[in-house]
Amino acid sequence: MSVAGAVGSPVHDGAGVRVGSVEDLVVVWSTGEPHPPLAGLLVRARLQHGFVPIEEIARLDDDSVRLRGRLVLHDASPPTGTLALARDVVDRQIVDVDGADVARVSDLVLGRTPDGIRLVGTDVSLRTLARRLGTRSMRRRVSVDRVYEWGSVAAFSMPAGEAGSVLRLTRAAAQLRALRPEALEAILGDLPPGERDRLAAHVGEGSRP
Amino acid sequence: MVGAEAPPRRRLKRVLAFVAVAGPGLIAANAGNDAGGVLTYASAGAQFAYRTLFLMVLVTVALVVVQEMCSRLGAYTGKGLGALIREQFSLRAATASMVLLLVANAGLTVSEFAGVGASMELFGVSRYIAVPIALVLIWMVTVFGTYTRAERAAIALSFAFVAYPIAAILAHPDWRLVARDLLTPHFVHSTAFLVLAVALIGTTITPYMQFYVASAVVDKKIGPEEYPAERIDTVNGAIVSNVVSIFIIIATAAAIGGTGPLQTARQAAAALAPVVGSAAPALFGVGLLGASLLAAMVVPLSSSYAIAEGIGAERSVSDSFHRAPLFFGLFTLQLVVGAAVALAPGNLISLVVDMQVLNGVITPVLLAFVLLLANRKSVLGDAANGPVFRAVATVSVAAVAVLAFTVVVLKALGKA
Repeated sequence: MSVAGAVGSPVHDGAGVRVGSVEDLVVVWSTGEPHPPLAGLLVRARLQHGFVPIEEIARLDDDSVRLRGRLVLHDASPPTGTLALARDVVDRQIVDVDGADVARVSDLVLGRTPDGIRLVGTDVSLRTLARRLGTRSMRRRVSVDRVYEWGSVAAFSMPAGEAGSVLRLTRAAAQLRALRPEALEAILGDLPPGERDRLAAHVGEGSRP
Repeated sequence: MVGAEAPPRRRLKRVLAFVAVAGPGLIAANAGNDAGGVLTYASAGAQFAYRTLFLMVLVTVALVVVQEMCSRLGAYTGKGLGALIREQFSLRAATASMVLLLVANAGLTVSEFAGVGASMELFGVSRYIAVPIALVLIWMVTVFGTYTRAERAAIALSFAFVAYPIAAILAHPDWRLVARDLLTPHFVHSTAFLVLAVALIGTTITPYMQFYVASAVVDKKIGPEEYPAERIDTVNGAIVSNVVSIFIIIATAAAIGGTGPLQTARQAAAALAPVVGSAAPALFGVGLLGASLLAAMVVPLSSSYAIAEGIGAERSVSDSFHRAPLFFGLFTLQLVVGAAVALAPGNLISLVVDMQVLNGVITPVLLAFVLLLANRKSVLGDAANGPVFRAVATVSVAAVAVLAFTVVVLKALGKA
């Protein structure tokens, strides 16, 4: 699932009534996991906006969100220890271990794993950048040619969200672990749960130097 | 004695700190006195004598405010405007502003090379020889040099501007009239004056100057600690460059004030000849050559910085071509296309006018971005604009935006 594509998607309550739209996707950051789990969404509803935890979401697709019950907006800001992906990570500069500029984050890729939806990769392709300038359906399409494994780019130079903050690679740019397109396509595809879980397990070790 | 340093030593330290960081602000502002600028200032003096001088004082205040915000953004965030706009605003807004900047700068690069050709023709050198040599020199200094060397070359070119104060003094202006029109508001109620006023603002506060100063501060690795000295460089650069502009107006006002607008630099030089003597073409030629060469380097550099920052590619004049291929490739392409178009037969005046309109569209948008960025605590922390600066900056930006928008409308209606 593309983060840039998911932003702006409609949010429906348990009865199927549209109650707002996705403003951002929030992951748990404080635990330092290589593939941070989705903690919830920031939802905009008319003039209000707030956090909706993952437990209150029945279904999250790349073009819509369905809640379990009615919309309850929690705090206006994401909880402590979390990271708002569109605001704090998308479009940020990635630098290598020597501080040289490598690319900017064009998009982020979320995947369904056995224990929930997780941040699995960062897309740095120019094609994705061009795609984001198009319609919403174009924005949702994930390019698979230059997606790097999230674990390779996960360190911030200073607290995420600060203007001077950049994403630091954990290894040299040449050794970036690219997600294999077939693994990525599989994890993004609508596979039966068993098959998807098997492929999802390969995301970490299946990526290559 | 422990603690307080002796005052002379402290002063020396301050001077050394200033010399170490000086450059980005001076170069960016001086590049504003480019070929188009020289012609606009000369035309202002020829058409309205000294009456635009008070306006230039106001424009100087606006330029100081705008340039200071940009260099502060660069120093405190370590990022140029291209990077900050991409990160802080929508991708569509960032892309639109980068594309407009690239197109407008491409047009300006043509006019800078045309300025190189025109100035060398004042010395009897064909533009077909002068322009290719200028292209190669600028390319080599930038691509094979370090940031420091390129900066030294640019500062050396800025010394050519001394020609204008000399020309102004030799033209024997009425200094009492000059002082009066500098200090008291003096507007002429006509469309021609309004259009010229906007052209003066447009050529003095141009987007490439803002992009360049922020990026050059980052390229020179000037951070918050060095910023007090860089602020002096930026403010000083803006004032010096506008003093030069004022001298261009004074020179032509003294020689041919009230005779009507000028079309070419050669006309300006020729018009000065009766009062300044045979030195006039040489003085104007030297000034125009320095201005055009400096801007022919700074203008394409500013778009290369902005695009590379927006995309996130490596970008430093100190890098090699291999390490920063997008940055130098784009720079090279702009130089080659600019020089080629400048040498092609055809009417370049209309092209330059069109680019001024395009700059008129970009300037308010860019200045709004700069203002919003410099106001944001989330971007600049404690260095964000305070209430007084914010008010002055808002008034400056709004005034420039309204006037720039006015000239675009007038040109669209065919009234300018």
